[in-house]
Formats: sequence, C-alpha cells, structure tokens
Amino acid sequence: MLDAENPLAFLEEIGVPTEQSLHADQTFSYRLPIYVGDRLTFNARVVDIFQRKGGLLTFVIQDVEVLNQDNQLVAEIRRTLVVKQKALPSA
Amino acid sequence: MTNPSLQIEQSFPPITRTTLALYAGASGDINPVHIDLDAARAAGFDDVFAQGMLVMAYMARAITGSVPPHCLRSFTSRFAAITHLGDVLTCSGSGGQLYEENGERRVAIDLQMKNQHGEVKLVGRAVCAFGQGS
Repeated sequence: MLDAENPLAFLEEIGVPTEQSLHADQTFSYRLPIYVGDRLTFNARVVDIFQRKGGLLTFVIQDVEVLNQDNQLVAEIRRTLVVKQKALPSA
Repeated sequence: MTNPSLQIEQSFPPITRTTLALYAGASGDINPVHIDLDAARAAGFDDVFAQGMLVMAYMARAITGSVPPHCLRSFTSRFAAITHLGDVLTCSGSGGQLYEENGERRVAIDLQMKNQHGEVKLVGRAVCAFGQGS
C-alpha cells in the first residue's frame, strides 16, 4: 500500500489536508507467513469516524486486509488518524 | 526464546533531519511536515518532527532483536507524544504471563519508547508465540 504514489490520498479524497492529520495508533496482526514471490492485495476501508473533545478532534479509523494470491488472509492492519477540527472543510 | 521473563532494552541514535528524509523516502510517508520546515511551520509546528511510524519501526527493531520475527503474532502501538529532532530514543519492554491462544502458548510484551528526558513517545504491545522453533 505504501508503494502507492500518495499513500494518504484517501485523506485528501475526504477533504482532510495531510498536514493537519496525526497518527494516533497503529496495529498489525500477522496471520500467515508472507514469502518471496507472493502477490499481495491490500483492501482498505474507513470503518469509523467519530469526534472527541467537543468536536475539536476527529478520529478516522481505517482497516486494511492483506490477501495473498491464494486469497488467504495474511495480515490485518488498523490505523487511527486524528484530525484537528479546524482542518475540515465543513467546520 | 525460552525465558518467559523476557526483557527488552535498546537505544537508538539521535533523530536528525537526515533520518527523517531517508525514512520519508523509504516508507512512502510523504507528509511534508516531517521533512519540510516551511510545511511544518505552516501546520503550526516549530520544526519538522519524526514520523510516528519511524518510532514504531525502532520499537519493532527492538522486539525482533529479542524475538524471532516468525513468532510475532501482532504488534500495536499508540503514539503518545511527538518525537523531536535530537531526541535519543530508548525502548524498554518486558513480557508478561504465558497464556494459551489458537492452540499455542503466547506472551504479551509491553513496551515503552522514551526520549532522553524520560518522556513517553510510544506505548506498544507485541504478542509472540512461544516454542515456535525459537
């Protein structure tokens, strides 16, 4: 996924300037070994968005499942990004 | 890995602008606040600062220095504070009680990454399988 030209493009697509976002937490779960020659597919989706501190902070949770060429789940990734509310265009 | 009372302790070189530039290129994290002083100031920071994932990567290196990588089942971390230029990071951690999960014995290692002033930058937990030919 980090091979992407802009790994944070999804933030820009939902209107968040990358400079205003901070990484809150990150989790990797390793399900199966990954071998040289494997072809991996990363399926990412935003699973939750919520606000804290009276709306000053917006949290965006993204889940990524990583599948190999045999469609086996080899890893799961979750990251939480926090965005300062003033950065949101609708604020 | 045969000792459940696993202890981890590792220090890393001071964070420099070069470190941040190299990690930006290597990781693909192109957020300019980590490498461009103008962008950092425009976003309200005094200077560039370390990518969170760089600090997590140092923590991962400390873990895999003590635990064979194939034993690692999960690795999670919370970014507690910003890591600044010049910070000297030290990772320390210790394993807890063994428990059974998915038909194997596992241990959770709780870790902290602190700078030279004892400020906690990253709080992490790694779950490792025990007795995997290690």
